[in-house]
Amino acid sequence: MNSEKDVSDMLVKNHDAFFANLLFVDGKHEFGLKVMCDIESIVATLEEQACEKDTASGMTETSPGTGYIWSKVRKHRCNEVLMSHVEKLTEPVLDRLSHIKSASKIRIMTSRNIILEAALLVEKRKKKELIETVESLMHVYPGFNFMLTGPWPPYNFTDAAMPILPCYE
Amino acid sequence: MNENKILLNSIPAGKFEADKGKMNDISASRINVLPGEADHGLAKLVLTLVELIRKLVEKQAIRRVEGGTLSEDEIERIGETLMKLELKMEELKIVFNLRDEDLNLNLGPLGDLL
Repeated sequence: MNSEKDVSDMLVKNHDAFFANLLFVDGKHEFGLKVMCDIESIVATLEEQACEKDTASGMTETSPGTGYIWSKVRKHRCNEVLMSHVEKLTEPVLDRLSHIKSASKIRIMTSRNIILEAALLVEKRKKKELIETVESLMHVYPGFNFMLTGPWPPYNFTDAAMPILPCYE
Repeated sequence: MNENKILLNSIPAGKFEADKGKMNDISASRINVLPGEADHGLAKLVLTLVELIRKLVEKQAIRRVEGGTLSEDEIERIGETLMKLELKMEELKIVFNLRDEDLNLNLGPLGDLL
């Protein structure tokens, strides 16, 4: 935008969307939640199972090119199984948070060990409840490592074009 | 990250260092265009794009193998091609002193390219 007038025109044009979005985030904070776990042992088990399955179905390495492709197919299948396994692992964690958050943006497996990364929009008055819930999750799932950060301004929820729904993923 | 913004943390010190580094440092995924390092920055950008295309081709090949639409001969040929391409990428990474994690671009809210 080249001038103050451009900015002002844009604000007027999108007044309703901005207003609705401001209303949506009003009185709320954003919190970041990361859940990490040692995924290597799960991956090793899955790869072992895939190898056994491939041998049983005759998917063996006959020549370099074919062997290479089969190894990639096997890895791809393992990743798919891993994703669905991780989704099942994170489901109860998200369930416990569902009544606290007003909205959330969830990403699964953002790196090898970060199995869940969530931006949670939470009413300011529910901050204590959120902390207590995550604390209790730490005890229920000792195999997971949690990191809760915040409160942040609702950076992830300030898209004026986003649908204003009570809860969206 | 500002320490007083961490409300709870059960991640043991020293564990998942690579992931924690990734969480806090987005500069690693940026292309360096400083005059003295333009070659390196350009190589990183070009190899990132080559890696993206290589992975897309690989995914397409996997899909076709799983779909059963390739003959044994075609599987062998595409497998050999992809294998050689991967080896060549490894060589180029050594030449330009790049690690696997360097071949990526942070696309902001969209996440990482690869």
